[in-house]
Amino acid sequence: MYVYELERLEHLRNWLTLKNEVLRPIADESGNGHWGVVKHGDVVPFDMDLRPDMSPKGLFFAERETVMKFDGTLFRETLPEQKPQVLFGLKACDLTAIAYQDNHFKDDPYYQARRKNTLLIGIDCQEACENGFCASVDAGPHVDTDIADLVVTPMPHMADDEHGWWVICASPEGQAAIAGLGLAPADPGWENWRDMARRHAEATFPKDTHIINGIQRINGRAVPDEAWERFAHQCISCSGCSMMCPTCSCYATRDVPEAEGVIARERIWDSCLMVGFQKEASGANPAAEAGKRVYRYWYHKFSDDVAARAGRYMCVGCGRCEATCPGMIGVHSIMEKIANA
Amino acid sequence: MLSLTPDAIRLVEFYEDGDDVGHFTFEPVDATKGFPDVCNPEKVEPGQFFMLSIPGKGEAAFTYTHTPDENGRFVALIRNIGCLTRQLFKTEVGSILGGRGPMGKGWPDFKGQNVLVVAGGLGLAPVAAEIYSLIEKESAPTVYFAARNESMLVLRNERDDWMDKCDLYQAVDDLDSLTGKSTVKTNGGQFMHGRKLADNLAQILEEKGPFDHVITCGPEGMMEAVCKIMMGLGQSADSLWLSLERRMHCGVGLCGHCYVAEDLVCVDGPTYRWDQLGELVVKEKAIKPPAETVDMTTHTRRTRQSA
Repeated sequence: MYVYELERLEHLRNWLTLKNEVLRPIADESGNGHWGVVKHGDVVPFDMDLRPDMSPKGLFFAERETVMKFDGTLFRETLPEQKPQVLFGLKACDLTAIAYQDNHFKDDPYYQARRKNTLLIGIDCQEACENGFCASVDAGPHVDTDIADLVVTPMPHMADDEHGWWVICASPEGQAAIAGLGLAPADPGWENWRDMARRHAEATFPKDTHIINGIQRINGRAVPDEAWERFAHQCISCSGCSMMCPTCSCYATRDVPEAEGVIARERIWDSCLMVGFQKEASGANPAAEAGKRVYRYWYHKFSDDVAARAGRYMCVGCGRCEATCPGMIGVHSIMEKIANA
Repeated sequence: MLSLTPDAIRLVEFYEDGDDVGHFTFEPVDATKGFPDVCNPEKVEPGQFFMLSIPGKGEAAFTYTHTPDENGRFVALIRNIGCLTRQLFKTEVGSILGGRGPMGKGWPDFKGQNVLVVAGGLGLAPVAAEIYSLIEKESAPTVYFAARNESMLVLRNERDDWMDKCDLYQAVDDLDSLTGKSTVKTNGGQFMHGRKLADNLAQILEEKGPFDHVITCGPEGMMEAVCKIMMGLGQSADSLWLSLERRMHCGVGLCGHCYVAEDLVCVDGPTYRWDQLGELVVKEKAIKPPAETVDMTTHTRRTRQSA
């Protein structure tokens, strides 16, 4: 694995804009983070602490997209066109989720059309973020080099001091992307420094006993149905958790009429917390009770059975559900409740 | 890569086959480059399903009642019940619709086995292709078919056909509804009483059993009852098979709608073995408090009611 030294992240970012559309976390007027395009020559400093509210999943698995069109005689696939793009500054949690989605959608032509033209630049987190618990679910705080193309990690430094970066080439595509940038190879020993930084970062996480307890109680089926019904009183089926969740991948389809009799079939994000999610035309609904749906959501995130299939827990510990849930049953709140149920 | 784009199929025949139930035959629109998978007799197995597209209304899962023949023609038995099927019932013969498939796991190969098929109402649709397949393999099954009333005695032509080829028991819940117009020549013209499921199954077992395997399809409550009754009659849980219905938007394991615990019915089902499904159903439920508490006076735990 080739590792190089880099003085400023903006230098690498600007280099990548030469051949790609580069997206990086950017704050809007309200201060919320989202994924925005950075143009060549843009000198806005890279803000390491800015975390987009939305995970990047929508950049591959679109919130709403047309999958095919029917012209009265033939059905035609409508694949998206994706110019080469770079996601610059992905945190370990989001990269872990992308790795999961890559596998879930491995045979999905729409997802793969966007994904195959995308370069992933990961960044190692140096401390726990608000609501984050990636370290408890094996999804951070440092980036696993198997799931990114390039990983940038800060060199040792005193707080807030200017410091350089190490650039780890984690894939041939990543290596190719920086060819010509003229970076100096890293001195040996970078790995030890990175490892130490990871241990420092892990030490900044608050206690996670409620998460570990909750996972055990879900898998032990130790939470009574009545308790799930009670938690569900706080679910207003807004689906915010599913929309924000970087691993949620459920969708619904609908047909939309277009001009001249053409019918377009769209797929749109869906959520298992919606009452009609499993409702059949006959009216039969296996998940009619709200408690069952709330149980389903957390079972799917933390079940060992699902993990055995997916290769890991479906939760990557980003804490976005906690931040968004208006009913106060995001991951930390619900796990506290489960631990005491 | 998967395709979420249907192939064009043509509706070539339709007749009413029960109350609000239609018998639909489809064929490929263009077979010049070979059959599309959804119409390919080499690829479709009994018990599998396909996604039927009604442009403008969407796409839904239906079982193959007849798997494709050498011309790629296949049949689905469909109830007029939702927005999509309402449109289908208004669709003129000759119209172009969309089909994707086959999907899911079909029934296992029961060639040479003594099989009992238990179907309730429209639950006859997913087992019909299997009955034909077993007759063809000279392993004609015993069939027990029950419906609410005479008007729900679906697949009348198929049952007429089976009459001479396998042992067919039939029942209706509402015996008074029988007008004698049923086209099927029944066993001496007699219908059993559908509500007496346990008695009927015991009688069939005595006359035609023991059975190596039992396959059943119908409302979930009925299938559960059939499995429990058959187990009570000595049938092992790993010889009971059933087919589940769930809402589906993709049919290929992506959209997430058809979950049962960690399974997705579209790819892991729709056919299940009773003991394997039982494990999933247990996981779907959290726990309930014990029906009876521990009796502290004797320090013995009394029998807990099964959930």
